[in-house]
Amino acid sequence: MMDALMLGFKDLFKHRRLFFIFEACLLMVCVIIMSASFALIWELDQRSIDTTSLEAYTVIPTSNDMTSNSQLIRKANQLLNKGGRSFFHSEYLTSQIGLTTIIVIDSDLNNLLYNDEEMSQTTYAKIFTKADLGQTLTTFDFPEPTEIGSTDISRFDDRIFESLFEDEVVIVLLNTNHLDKWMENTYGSEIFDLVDNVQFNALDKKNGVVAEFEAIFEDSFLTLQSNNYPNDELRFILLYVFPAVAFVIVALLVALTIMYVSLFKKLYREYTIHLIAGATLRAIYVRNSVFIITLIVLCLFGVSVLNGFELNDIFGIISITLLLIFFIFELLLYVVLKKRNISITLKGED
Amino acid sequence: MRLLALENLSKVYHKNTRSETHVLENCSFELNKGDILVISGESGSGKSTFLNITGLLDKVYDGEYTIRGQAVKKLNNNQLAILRNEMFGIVFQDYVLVEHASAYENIIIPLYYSKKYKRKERRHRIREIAQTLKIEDILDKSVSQLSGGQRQRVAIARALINDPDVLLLDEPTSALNPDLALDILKFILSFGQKHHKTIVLVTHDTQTLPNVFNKHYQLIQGKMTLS
Ligand SMILES: Nc1ncnc2c1ncn2[C@@H]1O[C@H](COP(=O)(O)OP(=O)(O)OP(=O)(O)O)[C@@H](O)[C@H]1O
Ligand SMILES: [Mg+2]
Repeated sequence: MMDALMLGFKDLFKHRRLFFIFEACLLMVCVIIMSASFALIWELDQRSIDTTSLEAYTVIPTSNDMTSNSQLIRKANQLLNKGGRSFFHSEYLTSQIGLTTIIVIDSDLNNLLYNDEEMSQTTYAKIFTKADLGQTLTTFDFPEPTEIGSTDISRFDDRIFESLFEDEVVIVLLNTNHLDKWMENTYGSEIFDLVDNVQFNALDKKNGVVAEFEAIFEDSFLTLQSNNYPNDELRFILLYVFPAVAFVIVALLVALTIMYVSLFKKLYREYTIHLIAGATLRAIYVRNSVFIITLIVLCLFGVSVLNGFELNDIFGIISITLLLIFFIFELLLYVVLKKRNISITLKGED
Repeated sequence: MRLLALENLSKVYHKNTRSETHVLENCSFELNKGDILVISGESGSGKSTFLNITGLLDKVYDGEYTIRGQAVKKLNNNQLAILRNEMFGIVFQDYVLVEHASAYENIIIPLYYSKKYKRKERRHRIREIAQTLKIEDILDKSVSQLSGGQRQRVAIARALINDPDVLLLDEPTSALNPDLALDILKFILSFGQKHHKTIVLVTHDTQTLPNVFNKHYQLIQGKMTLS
């Protein structure tokens, strides 16, 4: 046993160049699997946060008729009181305040911030500045500034933050009861923006808010085109990324197998000489396994380093993959060793 | 004492295919301790085939093979491995050495699997054998750099290293010049006599053999006959 292990390590040292190529290939397989599963897990997480796919729209202007603006705004106002969320960039306020101003309408936040009866009647809006996104935002209420917890900020539509590049931004969280008042001075483009950025979730859809919204804009100067992009990303991963990944992995595994077989052929004559001298199959097995086990242990270590020594799903996936590779190679060895007749092997080989 | 016996041995290569080759037919043969035996026959008559079966390297044959009264067919792989290690020392026609390894690494191979010699005794044992075969100076050289005669002595050293009961020698001198060949043969045969080894020597050339063997079989068309 000790001798078999020692011989195994000697073989490994003798074929160290092949070993490193092997290791590199195996690590490559692992890294590819890691990033693919990372993308998938991240995407699935995203979906579980949203609980289901969001309803989103692209708008296409169909006429320049602005006469129905106030009508539309009133209806949209009533609607966004019931559900859904949106935001738009206000040209008017931006020029008034001197800072980029985003107006946010969100039924959930609305209930949270304008919760008491008096407030919902008298407060038109709460204004936040983007001091440090992702941190606590300072609110400038009329007239007293108050604090809003960071948990509430996460409830803002992510897309708002994505679209902001300036550090100094004013976010106006509109009291939807007064949306029509705020929109009096707007141009058509802001309605366009509002509709373009609207998002409904599954609950809104269930409550009929989505259907209502679609009905409002049916006869207007805008046409709605429903699209679901978070869903699309998952589809893209499953449909294009995964087959590509699978192809690369299969190619690498084939390369690994070819290399393994060529190594095995090199060693097989020596194994046969040992078998003739009285080696048991087990001794040969142990000897040969040293190479593959070292390979896999090193690879697992490399993966752990890349993974920050975390025992998460990705580590699990990699471990299972490596275990599979290990068993395939061991099986290959078993089949070859068990089947061949010692005396035949000696003929016709170097 | 009866060491091993083969009864009605037949060997067919590639049975039931178009390239079916009948090599040995109903050969019987036995070996007692201390026997020195010569098997001769033309090239292709099946001498190596016979030796492979005797040395437990080929399991595919018809007939009964018993070693010390035990039927070989009933032994499992581990028992066969132990027998190969302790009982037989084989020198092949083309030596069959591990080419990229040193002479030392070649000779030590049977000792890895031996219970006769402890780990600590290995080095000493190899020196001892190397001295008797006059190869102690080339132990660290790679086998691929050795001359034919040196390679052969390495192969013989490997066959002797674990002190086997039976030496199977397949034309051990075919690649050497006649003088050296005779030297080596004389050495092996006298070594065998001195240590009460049982020796099976396969050769196609019986002219130059020293006259120390007690049996001489001839393989002719698959049949083994005593001559
Ligand atoms: N592995 C094999 N597969 C098929 N046929 C084989 C195999 N090994 C040997 N033979 C055939 O068996 C016959 C005997 O071969 P073997 O090697 O035993 O002869 P030999 O007496 O040792 O000859 P030589 O004196 O040339 O060494 C030959 O006809 C050969 O072609
Ligand atoms: Mg032969």
